[in-house]
Amino acid sequence: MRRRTEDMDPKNDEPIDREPWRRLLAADAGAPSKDTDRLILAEARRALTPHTGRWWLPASLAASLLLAVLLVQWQLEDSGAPAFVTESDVPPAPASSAIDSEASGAASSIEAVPRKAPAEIPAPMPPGPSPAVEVPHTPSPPLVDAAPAAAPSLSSADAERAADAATPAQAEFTREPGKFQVVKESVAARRNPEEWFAEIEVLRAAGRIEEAEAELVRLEAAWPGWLSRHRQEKQ
Amino acid sequence: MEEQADAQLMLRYAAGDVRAFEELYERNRRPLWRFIKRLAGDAAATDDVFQECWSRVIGGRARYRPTARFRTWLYRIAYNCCMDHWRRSGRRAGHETMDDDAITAAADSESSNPLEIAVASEKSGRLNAALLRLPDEQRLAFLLYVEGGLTVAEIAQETGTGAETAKSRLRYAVTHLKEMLGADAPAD
Repeated sequence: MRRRTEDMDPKNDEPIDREPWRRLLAADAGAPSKDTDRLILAEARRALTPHTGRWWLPASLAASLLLAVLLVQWQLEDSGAPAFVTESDVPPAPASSAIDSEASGAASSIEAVPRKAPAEIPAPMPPGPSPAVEVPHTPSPPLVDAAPAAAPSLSSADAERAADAATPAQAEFTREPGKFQVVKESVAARRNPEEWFAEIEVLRAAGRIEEAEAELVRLEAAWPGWLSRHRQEKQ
Repeated sequence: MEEQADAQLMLRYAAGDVRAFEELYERNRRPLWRFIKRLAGDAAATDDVFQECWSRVIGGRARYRPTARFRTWLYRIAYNCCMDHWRRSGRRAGHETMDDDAITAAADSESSNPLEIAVASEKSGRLNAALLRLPDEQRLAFLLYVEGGLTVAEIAQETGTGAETAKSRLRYAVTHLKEMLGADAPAD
């Protein structure tokens, strides 16, 4: 009776003798597998390993990225032109008929505008050599604007003769000036606006007004808003 | 004494002594595994829950304070892992039949007499089967008390009940087990 009273006492924290029951439970031979033991002990060891070596991977990746960006930037600054000109940078060439009409147009504009010798007018220079340039690329490809004074009154027969005498690239230019015009526009679009504007001013001073205006339109197309800003700054 | 040793081992592990953890693990691995196996009632999940439990012990080493008994802390974690497992699997403890103890597997029992081993193993198997027939709350209270070494007050705290309820569950569990085990039940 006394025992039952003790059992029901809420302050009695051990109402049952647990040892006989524990011995009976302990007779169960169940145990975790060796693999489980290995995994847990390995995790315990790993948890104590200091994580000092983990910072270098993201740090080295960031350093490599920074180096690559700096190299590209340096190359761009050094050449004054984009490092890579790919097909996507060059607008699609017009159809052959369009090229022909453009060629004749170019020839007429050459005839119409009196030109000075190249020594007098600084011609816009094409970008420096670049490893990924996919367009025809030979030393100093003649651009329309930089055409020498001999260009005026170039008949088709003369053009054929000139093409025979020139380098292959020059010959190709003579036959298909429109093709080079496309490339030139693409290159021109990346030119420094200050230098470009200075060249336009030279053209204007030389009396080549139409050419200067055309260049001005191109400059505005390549650098939208730059012209108005530049004029405001001058004022 | 054992409790102090466990607490000291845990503190030493938290300070960076991996040997202390190995000893702590060796001392507690079997009773904890049996506790989880009997509580979960799902042989397939026992290893997962057991591993999760020790992962939490490892992860919580810095937070461990020897204010409570180590075993209380350990079995509380095991209990929470079981609860999480039940929540994930969408059911309470299963009622699968546990494997009967193999006589050979009981070779590390204190007894060296094969007959005693066989009898003890058979009794243990019957106890396991009887445990699975108990209501979940009674089984939990019984296992926390006997295997986990928790006091009634600690069981009440862990299960979110009053001390009287915890004690009643414990007493009912023992009464039912004695009825089911008959003469194999431990004498008072």
